[in-house]
Amino acid sequence: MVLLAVSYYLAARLGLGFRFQDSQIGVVWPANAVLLAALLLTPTRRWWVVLVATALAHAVAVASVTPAWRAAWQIAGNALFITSTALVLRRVPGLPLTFETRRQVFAYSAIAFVLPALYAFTTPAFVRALFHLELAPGSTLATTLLRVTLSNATVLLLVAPVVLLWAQFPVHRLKELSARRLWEAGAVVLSVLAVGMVAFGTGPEIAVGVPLLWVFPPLLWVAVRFGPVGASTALLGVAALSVWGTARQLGPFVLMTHADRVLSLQLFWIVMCTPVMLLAAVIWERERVEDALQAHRTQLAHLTRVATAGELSSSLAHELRQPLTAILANAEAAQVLLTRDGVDLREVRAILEDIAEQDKFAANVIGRLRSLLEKEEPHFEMLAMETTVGDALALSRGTVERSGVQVETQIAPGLPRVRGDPVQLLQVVLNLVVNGCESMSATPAPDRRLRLRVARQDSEYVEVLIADSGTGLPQGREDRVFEPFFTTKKTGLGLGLAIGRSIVSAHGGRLWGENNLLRGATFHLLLPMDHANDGPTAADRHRR
Amino acid sequence: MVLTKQSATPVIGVIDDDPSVLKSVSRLLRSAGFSVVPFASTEGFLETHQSWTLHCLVLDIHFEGMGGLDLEAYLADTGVHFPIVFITAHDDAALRERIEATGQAYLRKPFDETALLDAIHRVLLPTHPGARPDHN
Repeated sequence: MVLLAVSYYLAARLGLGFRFQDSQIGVVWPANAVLLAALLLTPTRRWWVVLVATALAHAVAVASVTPAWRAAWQIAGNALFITSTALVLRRVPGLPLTFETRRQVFAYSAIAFVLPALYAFTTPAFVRALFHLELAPGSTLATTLLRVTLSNATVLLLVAPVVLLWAQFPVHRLKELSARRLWEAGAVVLSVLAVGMVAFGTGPEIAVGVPLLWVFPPLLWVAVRFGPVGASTALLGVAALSVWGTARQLGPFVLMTHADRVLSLQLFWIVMCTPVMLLAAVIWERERVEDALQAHRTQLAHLTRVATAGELSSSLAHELRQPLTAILANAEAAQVLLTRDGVDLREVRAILEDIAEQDKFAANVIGRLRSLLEKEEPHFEMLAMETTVGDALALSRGTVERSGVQVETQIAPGLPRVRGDPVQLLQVVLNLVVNGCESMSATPAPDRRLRLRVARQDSEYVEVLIADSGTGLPQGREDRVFEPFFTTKKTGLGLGLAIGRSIVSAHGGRLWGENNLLRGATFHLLLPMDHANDGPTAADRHRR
Repeated sequence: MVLTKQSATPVIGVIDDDPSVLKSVSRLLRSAGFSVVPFASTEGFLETHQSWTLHCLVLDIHFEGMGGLDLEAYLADTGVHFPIVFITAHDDAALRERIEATGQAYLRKPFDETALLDAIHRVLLPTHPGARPDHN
């Protein structure tokens, strides 16, 4: 609360600095933004504390320049205005107010116009003008009303979002920012400053017209890349620069009369605010949708991996039983050897070495299984497709063996690496191998062959080709197998190939199948080679 | 390939395409007092088994190419019958019944020494009653 009172006090002093020399109406009253943010972030039952704290701060801040009756009126009026604004905001766009959806920005902008307009009728400036007690030279009732409205609308549109968003901002997130983001943030701050200086800091004869438009590109940049927090902050920055320029008799606004100057500044800010905030919200929403889509895809990939692991469970049990058999037989052989006179220690040592090796083999089987079952965020790294193919064959060895399939593997030497998620690519290849084996159950045993070839495909791709001699794909509609829930198997979700294709496209590659001339089908998996310095891949861009 | 000679230590052919299983099971049988001839594939067995006088086979069921059951059938076609202990890493109750019905043994991996030796004795006894190896 002390912090709140202090910030309110500082904001109020700042507001006093922004007043017309010839009027009681401020250009902006940023203290209201502090009050509004405080109310929105506090539960309603504690509002009275906020109101008391800010009232005291207000009284102290304006004591030297404002008569007591007027300060009291301001306190009551502001409290009424901001409290009702907060109430409406709680109800209409809903909390938390993050400016991350179009709906929130629209609703907020509308409220930020309507409520100040209503409130304007109750301000001392208007009421006194109404009774002809005090009317600034050259102003009418209407202009007084307009000024008060715009002054408050400016606060709500320009200042309140910044205060609110930064007050809610999880500061620890700043530490997680990558160096690239920080550089970009630095560049964007510099460009806003530079453009702002040109637009508002040059002589009026230069500044009128074109330079004013230059503030938009950096603002759009911020809106697109840094979300509502960045956009609102940059808008406030531009507004501050425009005030700074105008106060030094520079920039496009100084050509007008004083009153018009302030009015144009306010209109300029308001006109600038809503579209930029809206753009930020639209982009933000879009990115969230993409993130959600990506998260769903990851989840689905995990689910199908778990399903695959389930289908492979007997295969994996088989894989573990081999080393377990060897370990047990070795250990028992050693036990027998040790009971004899003249123990052959060399043989015992060899046995123990074998046991250790087989144990590691078993641990690898479990490790591969775990990589399938674990729910990990996708992470991209350089990998060799021949390793992935080897792992897939190791995981499916039991299935391959039981289906009586002979596997031929052909791996071209000196293959380039690809960039990808090792688990997801393993999943794709594994799925193709298992499908291939299962498609050959009706094939005569000697003809059950699964051919795998890993080779370079022109200068761009590494190709994994998996050919079986099974039932083949639906004639004329080969692509149907990639549709979700299309399945010819008795077990299985019918998602394997659909997920496989979406994984491969996320890697910038292609996956398709075609029927062989004689029997069975061939699947082609193309993955782009990693050209070390060719810039980020599609996957990288997505993971920004 | 008929058991003509009664030998004190029966000779056992072990056939498994997993090198670690082949090596360790052979080792175990040797330590139990058998003579052992290891084969890494069914095809390799067919090529060279006649160089030895084998009394019993410990035979994996699943191979690339000719499987253990195919080998048994092939040998039967040529009039050769071995007592066989089939070993497999797969669970298959129906197959176990079928194999045991023919008087052969079926062991699921992993198996311990007792199970393996019992199975060998079981399949050996009808044809080779004196074949108790002298293991301690």
